[in-house]
Amino acid sequence: MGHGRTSGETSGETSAEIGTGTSSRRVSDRFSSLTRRDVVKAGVFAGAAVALPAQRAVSARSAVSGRIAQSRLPVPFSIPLTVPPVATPLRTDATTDYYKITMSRIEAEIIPGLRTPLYAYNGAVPGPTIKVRQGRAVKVRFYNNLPPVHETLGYQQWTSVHLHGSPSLPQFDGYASDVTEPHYYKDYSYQNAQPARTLWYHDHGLHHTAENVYHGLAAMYQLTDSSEEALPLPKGEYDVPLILGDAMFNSDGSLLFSLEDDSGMFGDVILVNGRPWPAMKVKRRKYRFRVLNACISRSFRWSLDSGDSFNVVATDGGLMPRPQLVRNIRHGMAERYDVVIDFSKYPVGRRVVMRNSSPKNNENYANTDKIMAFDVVGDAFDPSNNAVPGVLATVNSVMDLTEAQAVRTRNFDFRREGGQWTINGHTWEDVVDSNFDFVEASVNSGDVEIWNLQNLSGGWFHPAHIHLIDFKILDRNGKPPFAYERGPKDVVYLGENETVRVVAKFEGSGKYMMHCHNLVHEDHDMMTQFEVVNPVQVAAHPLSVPCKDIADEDEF
Amino acid sequence: MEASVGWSRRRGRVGVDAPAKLARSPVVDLAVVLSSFAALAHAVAVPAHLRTWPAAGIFFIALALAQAAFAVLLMRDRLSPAMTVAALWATVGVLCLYVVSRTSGLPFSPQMSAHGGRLVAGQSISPRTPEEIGPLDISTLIAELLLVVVLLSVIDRRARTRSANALAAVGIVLWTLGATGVL
Repeated sequence: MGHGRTSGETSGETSAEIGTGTSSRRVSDRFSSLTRRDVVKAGVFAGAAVALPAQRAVSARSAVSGRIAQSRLPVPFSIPLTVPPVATPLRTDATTDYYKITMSRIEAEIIPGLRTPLYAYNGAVPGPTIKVRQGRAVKVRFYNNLPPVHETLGYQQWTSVHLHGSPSLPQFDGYASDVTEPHYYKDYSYQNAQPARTLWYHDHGLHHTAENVYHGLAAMYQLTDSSEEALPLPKGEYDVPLILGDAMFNSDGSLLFSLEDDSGMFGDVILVNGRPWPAMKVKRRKYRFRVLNACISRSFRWSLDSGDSFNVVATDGGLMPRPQLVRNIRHGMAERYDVVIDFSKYPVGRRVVMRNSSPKNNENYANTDKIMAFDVVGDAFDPSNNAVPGVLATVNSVMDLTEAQAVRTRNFDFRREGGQWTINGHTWEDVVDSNFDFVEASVNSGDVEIWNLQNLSGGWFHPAHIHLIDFKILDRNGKPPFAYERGPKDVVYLGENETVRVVAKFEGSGKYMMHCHNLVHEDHDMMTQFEVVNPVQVAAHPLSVPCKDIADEDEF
Repeated sequence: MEASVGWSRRRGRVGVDAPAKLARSPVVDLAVVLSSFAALAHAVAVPAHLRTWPAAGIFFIALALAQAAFAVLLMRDRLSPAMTVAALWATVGVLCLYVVSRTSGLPFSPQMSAHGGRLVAGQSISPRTPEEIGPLDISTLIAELLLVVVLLSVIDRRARTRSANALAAVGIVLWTLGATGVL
């Protein structure tokens, strides 16, 4: 049978047009038998089927077109640096400091003359810094007073708070699916038994961590101990948090959040402590800067435009055994590097710029090669605590680990697969689908293991974060870790085509997440979990302490 | 040789006219191609949907099989007028599903299905996430819209008028939902 036959020829029977009686018409006649009215009616439907999805897609893609003009952005180094406030406990007792922290929508001026809607911890972006000494517990009641739904992105604004750098119990670790709804609260408990370090607390809510952190739900948490306090490192006003971020703004001042192929969110404005390209007056002495990369997707390779070196004194897990003199740091998201910069070598009036020669696979804009500036002033200063000792930590249980102690080696492959970001081919969905039973690794408490973390792609990088533990980097592609990485870590930069081996001792009990700290990757599901098995100390389930309705609030 | 389309009556074994069937013609062949293409496109999308939402994957398998079966029936002149009208409206239904999935998101999809994951704590109802539109979506959309027009053109005049009216009504509903922000 082929074209050109009549129906009668086709069937060998008498053709009979049902209803119309026009079986002998040509095909073109047949089409023309669709009246103009029929075509218009079908067109009403076809138009809707084509135009409505297209309009939605175009409006989503044109989000970036609302970006504020470069000319309206502040000139770099024209705005002074500010430091986030320090949180004040609601009350204290012999063992514990109690805080109440509320997440809410605020408006603040980041771009001069414009108001930017943000999400704040206690009204501040970045949120208030919690400071505590080792061994003193902290309990925080986090209230979610955010609007139910994001005003432009349309997602429901649940939250989960993770204290990054703390071996918190599973139920207080900010488990992604342990969310707190708007108008609910949850109490978190932190024991602070670990050595001194720079931590940070930030949102970890399922699928919306990137948006929530981008809008401001991030803050520093500083833990000190007697060993650190005894060192002559800069203290007080000379110990300064620098929380790096990046953002993109609409012309009305609101934040522009745009994802391209889920690969990341890269802003054209570099923020330090929430200020665009700020400048800080520095006296002619040493300063300790606790540099946290709180960006969603951007990594930095930062250095000083003077070309001078500076000392790295601490990494994610606290003091390094010895300071490391470096000229630049490749700084991935969530990594913390505490550095000491000596400004005594510069004359008064000298401006030293912290610049960024961006690592591969970041999106760069006109001024993303600059971070902030230090303007040297001749003011008098306190000369105490103005040194970097040659030895910072004589004993460090993490850095003392050796390869020989490891009882097992495991491999973790961070890759893009089937349109999703995966770890060993798994995503958080596998964890959820298993009713949270699935674990990528089950480790006996007390065991030392080597974890082999791989990023075999050349198209992106993954800062890999393992909850609960501090680890020591053994090598990267078979070579020693960079000098600035020779301290205890909880995030490691997996650059393009890099394989990094880390060694860690697993202590505690329960299920903990590991994920990429490109928060867009994390949200789009490069996250899994492992379990530490301890027959003596059976852990609570991460979902065992749910949030509560603020209307039925308990005493705190 | 003149080409024509139309319904043919086949003589049954006992000499009684069987129900009319849609006979082969270039227009019908076009419908075969369009339905086959749509079936293939939906088959290609099965693995990705099975991964993110198994129910959607099963739906896509069923849809691909149905569209392939429709193409075969067309090719073999096995379609009655009622079946043709049913196929037309099934295609309209699929297109409506497409519009919803690419605008507001499907109301019965698992939460955040596009990201893979469901929330268990807090009993949240997450906003639905519209699916992205790719080249395969656009080509399938065009194929199915053409298929609707082709099928509309081969059904009898009364059914055609009724179907065209109903199509316009569905279109108006979609436009209204779009204008009011529902879609």
